Amino acid sequence: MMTVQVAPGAQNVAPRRRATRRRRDTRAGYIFLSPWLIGFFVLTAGPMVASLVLSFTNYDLFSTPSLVGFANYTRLWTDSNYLQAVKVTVLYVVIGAPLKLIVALAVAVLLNSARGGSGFYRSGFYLPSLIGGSVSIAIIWKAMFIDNGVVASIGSFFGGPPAESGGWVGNPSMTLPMLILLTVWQFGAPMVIFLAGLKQVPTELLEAASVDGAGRVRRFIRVTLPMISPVLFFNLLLELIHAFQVFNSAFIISNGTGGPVRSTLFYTLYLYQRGFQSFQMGYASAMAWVLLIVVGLVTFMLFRTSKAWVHYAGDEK
Amino acid sequence: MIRKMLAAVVAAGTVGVLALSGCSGGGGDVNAQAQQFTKDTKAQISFSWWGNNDRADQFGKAIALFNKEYPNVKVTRSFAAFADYWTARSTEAAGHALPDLMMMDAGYLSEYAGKNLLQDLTPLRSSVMPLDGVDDSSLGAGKVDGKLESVPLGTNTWSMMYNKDLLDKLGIKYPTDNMSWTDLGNFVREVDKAGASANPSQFGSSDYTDGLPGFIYWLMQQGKDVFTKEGKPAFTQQQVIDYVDSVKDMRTGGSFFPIKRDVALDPLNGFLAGQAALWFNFSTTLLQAMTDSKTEHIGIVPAPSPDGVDKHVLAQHPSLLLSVSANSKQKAAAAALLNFLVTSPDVAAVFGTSLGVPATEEGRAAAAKANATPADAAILKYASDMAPETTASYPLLPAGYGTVEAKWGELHQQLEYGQLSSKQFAQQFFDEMSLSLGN
Repeated sequence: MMTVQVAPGAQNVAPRRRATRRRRDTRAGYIFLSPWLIGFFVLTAGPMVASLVLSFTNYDLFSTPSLVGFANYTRLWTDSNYLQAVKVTVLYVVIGAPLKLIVALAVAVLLNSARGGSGFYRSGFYLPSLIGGSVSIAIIWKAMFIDNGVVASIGSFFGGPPAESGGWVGNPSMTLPMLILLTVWQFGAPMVIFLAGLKQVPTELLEAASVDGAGRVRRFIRVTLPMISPVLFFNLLLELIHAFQVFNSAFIISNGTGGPVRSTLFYTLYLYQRGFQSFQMGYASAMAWVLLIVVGLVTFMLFRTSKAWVHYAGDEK
Repeated sequence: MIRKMLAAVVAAGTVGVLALSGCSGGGGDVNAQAQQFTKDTKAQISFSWWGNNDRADQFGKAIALFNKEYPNVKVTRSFAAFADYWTARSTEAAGHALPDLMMMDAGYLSEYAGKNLLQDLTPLRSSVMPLDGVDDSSLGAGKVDGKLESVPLGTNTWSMMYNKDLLDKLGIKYPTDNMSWTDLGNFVREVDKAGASANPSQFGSSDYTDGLPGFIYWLMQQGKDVFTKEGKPAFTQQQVIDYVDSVKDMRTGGSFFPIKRDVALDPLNGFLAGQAALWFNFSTTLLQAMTDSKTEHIGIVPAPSPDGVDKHVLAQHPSLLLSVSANSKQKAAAAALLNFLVTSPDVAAVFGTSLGVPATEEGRAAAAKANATPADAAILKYASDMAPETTASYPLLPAGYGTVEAKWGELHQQLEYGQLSSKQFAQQFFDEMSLSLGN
């Protein structure tokens, strides 16, 4: 509570002065907030509202948008490239995100039980996450999996197809695994969070379980996993949302085409093509809003199911 | 209180956005501005192009030359790679903030002109932009509906390039300038046969029906129209099927450089990686061919003709164009720079043929003399050798051509991977055209 010094004999002036002072404080608060507020309204909320409006129009960036109702949304379901983009993205999300979490958790468990040098390994494993989203890594990744590249050469040495048969980059069935591998390799960020969660698991619980005769696997499933479920939930949410928005790696590896034969045509990449290469901003905006709604629904459903499997310490249950 | 503050912030934001996107309309009377423009007029103009660092250095030199004649015109420069360049221009176009002078591509010209984003340069030819020495015929490529919306900076011609080193190694005779498409098929098979045992194996060519310009050339050879005046296709689905099926047996029989490897080599391809003998493209890409395939021994001849036809139907194609934007406030100064870049022999000496074959006689002479790199020499020789047969005019490309050309490439890839039949290819290509062309 704020304390106001009141001069003797000025009792009836005080409330007004208090009000002025509070108003002045409020104003100062908003002035300090204004950089963020202006940024939020001009750069985030404004464009979002604009894109919602544009999604109901035909807009090519040059001429005035013309209203077309729900035409952009209905066209989505007949656009074979759009359906392909949905398919590729869902596969990436459903396979990539859980795989990444499993690897992150496995490595975190190993590091947690390590006696010495865990700081070194932790940094080492975290490193790919720092640089993983960058353009340079995608370029190197492509160079590794290209026709006659490192991976193809090693593969053919061990009896795989000849090194000069397009590598993974040229084979439509191998491009998605290649991109999933790239995201899984960047397991550092969830790993660090898992590690922090694992440190919080009370040792007395684990000891009690082993006294009761539980083996390592059983202790992990019955004690560790429930104890770190809030962290697991957080990581899962983050990785799913992240995976839906994958763009950089596919853009660079396919030179922005989503090729070969649309095998890396991720949702956001196709959205970019429609918006900035074919100048169909209305259509692209509709795609963006469908994605937002889907990601919102997935998040909502995760929160709903979380009650069943996420346990917070101190909960009554 | 809070609500009021929020309202104020929203209002302020909206005003800001309007001001940014807003209304910086045209720059007054162009003719009056052009009449008053002299060598000493003070002006500041912006100029944007696409290309690499070499090109940026060359433009730096060219603008320094320009400033010797017009010392008071300050030129601010910016450049980007082709795709990024057009992304930036489209957002600027939305806000009427295009650069005063900008590089233009034939595939985008109709689109930009159709949206009234470019200045009609015709009136300026009597003042700041005489374009001395430029043929009227070559200016046709920059016209849309009779208005001079753009001026070609140079031209090039459809051609077939071949890697002499590769053919020498395999002991195969070079392709000639009087082959038929049937001869070419036999040639490709011959190279495949001889190159199969090489390591890495050598091929005749990638599938050469993979690009829309090749199809346009194929139509022109048969004297057919490509696009109608309304910017719609003047060809049929059956013609598209015939074209891609003309090499069907080679595609399915594995005679072409494998598509898997072409994709993996992108942005290079079999030819540019030195593993396929032939490449079809516009003549000025010879420089890129020599650089990427790391040999100067690249030959250039016209692409084959239909069986029984012994002359070529070649057309000058604008390699690059320059346009003055409609929103420019310094149109006279921008047009003066345009005129200088197109006609000055000194500028041609700086660029050689890297922007196309120069538009003027003096320019071509200067390019030949100044830096006779092997590519410049070969490109200029091809242009002069083929001049008697370069009689047709390249079709005006309708708005949306860029999107349609990209779609051809994307669908053709699916055709090569065996995911589409030629009928589906033609069908889907026509679907895209009905959506994107001439709107």
